[in-house]
Order: sequence, then structure tokens, then C-alpha cells
Amino acid sequence: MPLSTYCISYPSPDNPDSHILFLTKSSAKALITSSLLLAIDQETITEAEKASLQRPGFIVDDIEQERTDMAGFTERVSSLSRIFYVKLVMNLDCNLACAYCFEGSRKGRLYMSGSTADLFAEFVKGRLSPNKKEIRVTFYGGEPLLSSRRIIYIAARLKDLAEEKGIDFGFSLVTNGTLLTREIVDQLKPLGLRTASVTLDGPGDIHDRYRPFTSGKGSFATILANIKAVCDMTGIQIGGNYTRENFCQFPRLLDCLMENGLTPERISDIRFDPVTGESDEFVLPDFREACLSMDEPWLNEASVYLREEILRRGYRVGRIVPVVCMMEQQDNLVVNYNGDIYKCAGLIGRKEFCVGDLNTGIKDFHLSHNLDNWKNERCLSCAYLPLCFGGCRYLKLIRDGDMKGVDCRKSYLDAVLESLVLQDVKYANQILK
Amino acid sequence: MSQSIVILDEGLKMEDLSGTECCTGAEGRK
Repeated sequence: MPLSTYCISYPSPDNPDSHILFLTKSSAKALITSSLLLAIDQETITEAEKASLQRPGFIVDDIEQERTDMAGFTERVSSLSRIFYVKLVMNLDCNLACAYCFEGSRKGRLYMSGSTADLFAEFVKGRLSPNKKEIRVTFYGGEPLLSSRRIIYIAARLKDLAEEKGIDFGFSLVTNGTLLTREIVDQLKPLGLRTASVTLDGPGDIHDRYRPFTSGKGSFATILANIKAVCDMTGIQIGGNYTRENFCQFPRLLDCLMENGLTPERISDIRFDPVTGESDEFVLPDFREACLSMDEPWLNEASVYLREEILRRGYRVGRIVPVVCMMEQQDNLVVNYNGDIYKCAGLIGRKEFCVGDLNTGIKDFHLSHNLDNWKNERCLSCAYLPLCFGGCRYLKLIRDGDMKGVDCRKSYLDAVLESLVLQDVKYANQILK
Repeated sequence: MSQSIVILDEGLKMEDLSGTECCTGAEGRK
């Protein structure tokens, strides 16, 4: 039996004459002797070894059948999902003036109305299929906490709906953190608040340059104080957006968190990502540090380095897992403040990628979003496919002006995956499941 | 299990793979 197409082996740094097997389609890992790796290739392994390797899927009966099955992988994940998930854009307004704002020129005093909130609750009720066991919402913006009263109203309605159906309901906030006070968390927690994702773009001096209030005043001190005040009430995820110019400074943020008592057990997890760009239509004209691809060599160094800095201080990070984009998952939606429906937060406001609205429902978007872009021999025979599935269609769109073809991540994964997998092994207790 | 193999991580089941993570982080950015 051969190794799975989606199994990669790396020499173990801690165990001479051993290799780590990593299965990209499930994130399974094994430590095996180098002689066994050779025996797999020569088909001389014992029955016991075969059984141990076959059960998690490291070796397979039939390579061709495995690739055929892989072509249906995302559909199966989507159909097995028990979660109805919506990212709900409450407004496109903000009290910060971030240099790189991802909403760019789409921002304005645009808020979800009461009637749209009602329509949304009815939409969820109507679309909830019997196999769903959980309604999960991320309140998003703009700055969602500028719409806190509306969030409370919607959460209460969805909580009632979930109770009526006998299923779970929970929600998270993607917030800049400036309004995340104990008072608001006290109100949201009983309604189902689980986590708040708060952005800190590096240590205070850098963060304040990139994420000032609209008045120009820095926001770091306010956000840090709020995190300290609420981190024992709700889960706090810290995110940060770095650039080529400033990523080396991000470890100073981690030290600052420690110095302020925000030790690893008080923070759910930390994730830093590069500032990605925008198309000319929405981009802020004065910001030129964004990247349009994961295929930039400096990103290889930055992503591994920053993840290591987070881990070696004891904080938790997300595991390297197969990523099925929300575009490929039937019950994963983005609903804009006005009721328009999209399949990615990056696409809001692009009418050609609007897939419907709360009144009329969702139209077929298979072709417009190029969902089958990775179903070709080259991608199906690539070990990285489950970590990529054609890459990011949004980045492809803003870089090339269309979603045709794939946003291939092979060179990026060639450069970083070994280091990331070895981090997952070394720091296994800090890797989120 | 043979001594030549140590399973470090059984991996995730397909039903556990649905979620809201995003390969570039663009989806959760703010």
C-alpha cells in the first residue's frame, strides 16, 4: 500500500533516523523510523504496521481512488456540517481610522436597520435545516459594537430560536476592542457571547500609528485596558496585521501582554496575519504596504517567526488543518448591513459577487465564484491541496481582477509547512484542536 | 501498534472540518 497523495514526510529534528508523517487532509501526524518509511516505499511493511498506518489514512489502498474521492472533499465537509454560520456585518462605520482599513472607501454611516434585523432572524429560521445542531454568528463591521443594541436584539432572537429548535447558539465579535467594556460583555455573555477577536497591530507605538481613533489619538491603551478588564469574562482572541516593514516588532507586543498580566491562560489564542491589499475600487490611496499574495518571500520568514514567538511564550495558536473556504460551504454566509448576501467578507460591496439577499434568498454562485478551480489533475495530485483548495479567491480577484484559475500556494507551503508542522508537534499542548 | 510507529495526532474527522477559518486570514481580518 502506498503513502497517501496527501501525506508528507519530514525528518524529525529530535529523533535521529526518524521521520514525521503529516497528513494534510486530516492533520494527522505520526513519528516513524526512517527504515519503515523506506519499507513503505518498497512495500515490505508488516501487517501490524500496515494496520497502524492505514487507520489514520497515511497509507491507502488505491491512489487513484483517493484522488477521485478528494474531488468531492469540500462537498462532503459541507454536507456533514452541523453548524449554520453567518458573519453578520452590523454596520460599515468605525471609530478608528486605520491606515490600511480593509473596508476602505466602502465605509460610511451605514447601519443595519431594525427591519433588516427582523428579516435576518426570519431568514435564519427559514433556512435552518433539520440536521443543524448549532447557530453560530460572528458580529462584524465596521465596528460591530457601534451597533450593540442591535446585536443584543438579534442575539436574543436567535437564542430563542435555538431554544425552540433544541439546538445551540453562540456568537463572537470581530471588534477593534475600544468599546469592549465589562458592561457590554455583561449584557452579551448571557445571550451567547463566546469570544471576542480583538486586533492589536504590534506594540503601542506601532499600533497607534496604524490604528488611531478618528481623532488621531492612539487606541492601544484603551484596547489593552479593555482586554484586561474582560478577559476573565469571555474568550479573547488577539489578532494582528503586520507588514514587511513592522513584523519584526510584533514580539514586543507579546512581551507587553505578559507585562500587563495578559498571560497565556487568560488569552484564547493569538494569530498574526499580513495586511492584505484591496482593489483600486476600494483601496485607501495613501497605504502602500499591503501584500496581494502569499507568494512573497518575506512572508515565509514572517509567518514562521511570529508563530514561533507566540508559541515559545506559551500562548496558543490555531492548528495547521485542512481549510475549506466558506465559499465552498453551503451554510456559511456573510450578510451585509443592508441584507445583501455574500460568500466572503472581502467581497461585500462588490455587486457582481452578491449572491442574493434576505428577501429573495440565494442564487447559484458556482460559476461566478469559480468553485471548481482546483478540480484538475495538477491540484488533485498536489499534497498541499487540502490546505489550499485553490487558495484565496479574494486575493486572486484583487491581484488579477478575476477569480479564474487558482491562487497557488505551493511555493509558500514548500517554504513554511515543515516548520509549521514541527511547531505543532513541539508545542502540541498549545495547539488548538 | 508497532514500535516503529508512534501516532502523534489522530487527525480531525471530516465533520469537524467545517468552520470559519480562512487560509489567508483575510476572512477574519479587522
